Amino acid sequence: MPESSALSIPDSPVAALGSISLLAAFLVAAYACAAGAIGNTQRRRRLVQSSVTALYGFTAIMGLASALLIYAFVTHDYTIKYVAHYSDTSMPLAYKITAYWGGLDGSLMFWVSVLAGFSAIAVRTNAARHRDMIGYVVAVVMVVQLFFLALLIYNKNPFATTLTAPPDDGKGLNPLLQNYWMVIHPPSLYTGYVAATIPFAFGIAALLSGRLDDQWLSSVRTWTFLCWFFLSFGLILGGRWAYEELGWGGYWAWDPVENAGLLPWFTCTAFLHSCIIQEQRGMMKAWNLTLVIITFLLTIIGTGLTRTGAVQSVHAFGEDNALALLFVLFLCAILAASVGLLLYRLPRLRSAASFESFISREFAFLLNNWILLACALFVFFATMWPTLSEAFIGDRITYGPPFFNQWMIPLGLVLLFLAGAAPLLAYRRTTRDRLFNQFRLPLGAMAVTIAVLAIAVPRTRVTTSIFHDDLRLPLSLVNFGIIAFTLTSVVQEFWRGMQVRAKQTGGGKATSLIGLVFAKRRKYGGYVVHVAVAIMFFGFAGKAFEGMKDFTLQKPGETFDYRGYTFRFDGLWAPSSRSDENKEVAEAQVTLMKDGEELAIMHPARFRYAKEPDQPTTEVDIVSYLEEDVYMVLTGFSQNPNRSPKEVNFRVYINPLINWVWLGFFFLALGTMICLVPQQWVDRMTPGRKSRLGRLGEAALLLLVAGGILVGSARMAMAQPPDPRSQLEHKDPNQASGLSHNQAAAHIARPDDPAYLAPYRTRLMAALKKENPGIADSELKSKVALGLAPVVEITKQAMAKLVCMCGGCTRETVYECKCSVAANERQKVLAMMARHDLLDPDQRRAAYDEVVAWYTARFGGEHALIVPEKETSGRIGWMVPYVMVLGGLGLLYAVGRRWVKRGRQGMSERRDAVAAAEQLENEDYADRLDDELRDTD
Amino acid sequence: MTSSETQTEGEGQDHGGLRQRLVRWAAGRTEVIAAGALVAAGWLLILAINRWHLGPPAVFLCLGWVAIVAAGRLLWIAAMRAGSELDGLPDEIEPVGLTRLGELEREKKALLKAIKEVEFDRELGKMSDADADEIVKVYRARAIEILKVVDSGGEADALPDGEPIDQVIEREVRARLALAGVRAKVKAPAPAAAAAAAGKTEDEGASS
Repeated sequence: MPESSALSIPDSPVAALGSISLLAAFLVAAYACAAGAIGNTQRRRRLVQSSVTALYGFTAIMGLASALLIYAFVTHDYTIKYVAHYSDTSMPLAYKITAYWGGLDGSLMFWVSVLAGFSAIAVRTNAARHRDMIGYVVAVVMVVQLFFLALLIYNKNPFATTLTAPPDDGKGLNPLLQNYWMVIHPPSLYTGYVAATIPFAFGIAALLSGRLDDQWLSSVRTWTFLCWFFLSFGLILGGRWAYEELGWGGYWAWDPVENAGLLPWFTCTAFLHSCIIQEQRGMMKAWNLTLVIITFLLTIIGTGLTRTGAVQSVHAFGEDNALALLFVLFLCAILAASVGLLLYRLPRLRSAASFESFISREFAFLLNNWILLACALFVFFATMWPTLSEAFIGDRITYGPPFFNQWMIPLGLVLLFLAGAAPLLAYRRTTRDRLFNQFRLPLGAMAVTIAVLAIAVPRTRVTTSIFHDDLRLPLSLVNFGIIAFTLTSVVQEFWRGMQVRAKQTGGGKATSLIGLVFAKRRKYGGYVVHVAVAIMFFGFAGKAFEGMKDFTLQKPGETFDYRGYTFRFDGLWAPSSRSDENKEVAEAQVTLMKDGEELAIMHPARFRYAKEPDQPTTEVDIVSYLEEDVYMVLTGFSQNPNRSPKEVNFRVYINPLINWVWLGFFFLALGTMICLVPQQWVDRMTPGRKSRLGRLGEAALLLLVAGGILVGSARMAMAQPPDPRSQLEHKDPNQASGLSHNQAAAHIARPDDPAYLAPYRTRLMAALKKENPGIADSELKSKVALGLAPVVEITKQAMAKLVCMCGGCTRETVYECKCSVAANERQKVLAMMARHDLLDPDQRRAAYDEVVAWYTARFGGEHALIVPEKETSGRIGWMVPYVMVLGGLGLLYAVGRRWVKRGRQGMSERRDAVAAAEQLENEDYADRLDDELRDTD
Repeated sequence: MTSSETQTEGEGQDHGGLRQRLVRWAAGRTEVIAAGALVAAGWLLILAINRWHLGPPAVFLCLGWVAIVAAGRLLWIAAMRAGSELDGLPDEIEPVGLTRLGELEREKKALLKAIKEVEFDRELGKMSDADADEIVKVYRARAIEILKVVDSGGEADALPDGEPIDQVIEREVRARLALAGVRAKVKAPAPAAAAAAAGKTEDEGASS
């Protein structure tokens, strides 16, 4: 039996009680599962009620286990191994509590606890109206809980104690995790993962019970929204954490663990859209159940990927083959049971309605679903390919961000276009003149935007490759155009909807707008979310224009210029008020100026934690403007014998439009909140209700409160770390003490290294002067720079192709990584490139190929490349996305044609039904119906 | 009887009434009160052990104690529910579905919303008048059918395998069409003939 099993009762009372609570939870879960399943199968009310109450009891037991573990952390109970590993005495209280989910064992228990709470709420609110299947819901949830509890009890007990004497102090949490974003990012992501279990449980219960109407769908709608929102929130928080903490100037690197959180987000988004079709037209029932099952499976896959070492990532908890096997077995069992049930009930899930036209909202939603699923499949394939390629062809081939971007950007742009186009289409079919009427304004806005930007901002005309290196498009232009299309489409929807409602109700514009939003919350809340996505794409567009530069300075007062900003180095010191027993701080002060005006004072720093002296962290400083961020990293420094700074190295990023990504999330939260407003709240604002404020006032108050909460959360999301100047005790840099040597390497051997470019510069100048002896200095300088640009570019491309093998970075390239290993490799690349005449295009290509071949041979495979070469063993992996996407499109077209043909055949039957319906309509009932229609909003 | 005696007697009656109400309230909540007392006692003990200092350890211990009491009570209730009748109701689960007026009402509301949605799309210019009229007529027929079923007591045929209500209504419409002798392909009748057919349909429907 593993030493960390809960079946070995430990000595510590807290650990003993904790282990016993896990065992008790397992037994209660087993009972609840059996009682719920048998109760509903045999229609025994008492047994079903007993299982529901047992579920509540299970929740209380997991509450006890969680309280005990946190108690152990706050009382420094280092007899418990998990506590000793992930905390220490000097950690602040907040991080001690968040250390609960900082490690693998605790994160699994956290999963179980959150699911227990959610399932208790879901069952409580739905037990009465789903009494004939709630027992099945309990049983399904408990099956999932039993799996995770089995892992905890057998091998991953967070209450396992040390066999030897406990240490005096713990190891402490990873310094990278000691950040306030980590307080909220994991719980948010776990909440999203766990919330996906509820719709899955209801879906399976519907299949088991045969209750295949829309009831289960309306019950899980809120949970699906919550799942989607918390996944979005978790992903954004993770991006913000990466941006602030990792110091590489970006927020998304297609890391496997990041991708694991994105996968269920794709399918959950697809489900949110397709369930609208089921509710409106009674179609896609089997598809919705399939999506719910896939979403749940992807959350389990994501949970497993991060905990088993199946993928390599700095986010991963470690490698555990036994755990990986258990996850695979569980997934196979769930998949087999779910698919079996779906096939069994398939005849009952067929819909009478069908698609009638490709130009319809239904088809647009279907296309949206297929593309989202294609995105999920692509990301899954590219994430798992290193593991699969190692297993099948013996070479671990990894795809880096350029490969992901080549596929995901165009797919994302198609989705953004659909976000604007689908609302303009009618259900069933849109006639040609209606199509023109709806699309002319948004398409016009798109055309004008593209034309204006193409002329006024030439940088937007730069082409980027999509799907294939040889297929290039001006993606920035296309992106901005589609953003304009989508925003115009949504504004048009709001405007026209407001006008129609004003005409229907006789109210004013403002009242009609608010009434429209609250009467059709899901539709217009969804439109707000589409606006949010458009805004985020605006932020993503800035990536194409970002810049990065390394600078080295020696004396206070020295300046450097970059992209219109001037940076003045003021000094470097170790302020004792920021250093503490936990860490040692080295901090620089740089004044940011523009056109001679001081804009801000920046304090990039480096922290060295006492518990992790070999893992210093960079503490970036960011000055944010709406149009761009100025992002500064202290990459290293060296000191004179008297400890004054000898050389200080900085890396500066200019990130255009990045804050629109965070701003977009604000609108996403607003849109989600609108969708989640309960019907009871809306009913209270219906006509006839007398209140002091009146309906408009109440609605405005509601929006104010909601807006206040959102602004608060947006401020938190955008918050900078506490101003260090408020805590700063300035010290004379010449007397700075306690600074450790922190040599930087980021600035060494860059593609624009003057010594490297000197021969080419000399040749170009000579050639230009020979051609035009009287050439002015300024013109000479600019032409030389133009001539050197391809040399710099090919060198940069070569460096950006090679993965830094230092083992300490998140698969950054030799071009990006700031370590000395990368600096050495860059020097070698420069030496190899210099052997060729890089002013000759053919020689540039040859030099690039030589560098790639040398690096691949040196490290024994294409895993050393950020994107594998298609000509070698990466060919299979390179072909798969094409096969998937093209095959999927073909299948969509073939299936769509069949459905549309069937739908058109059904149209003639419906015409008969209409004629017959006219004959059946009775005047009295018609009047009653008209009365009820008048009261319906 | 003096007024003060009256007043005293009135106050006595008030106190007696309040006491009775309290006793009745407590009698119905014995278990909850006992659990609450147990929780309070546990908290006092925890605070005493922590020397009356309410720091993070004491807080989480208190939360743990609440969880223990709650778990104990809930598991006891779960055991009792499985073993015996607690509420005197029959053990068999009443099916949720087609015999319930609520389900018919829900379907009717969904149809009304769908009609409003179609009208809204027509006003927005997304849907042509012909398409909108066609869809609305079918929805109206189905909604009227539900009204008729509701008026007749809401006892639609309950099917053991839970056929969705919309399909049941669809079958109802077709059944009535068949009774009315309307053929699959119907040509637009003359107004008089249509009125006569409608009258015949109602008569036959009433007699069936």
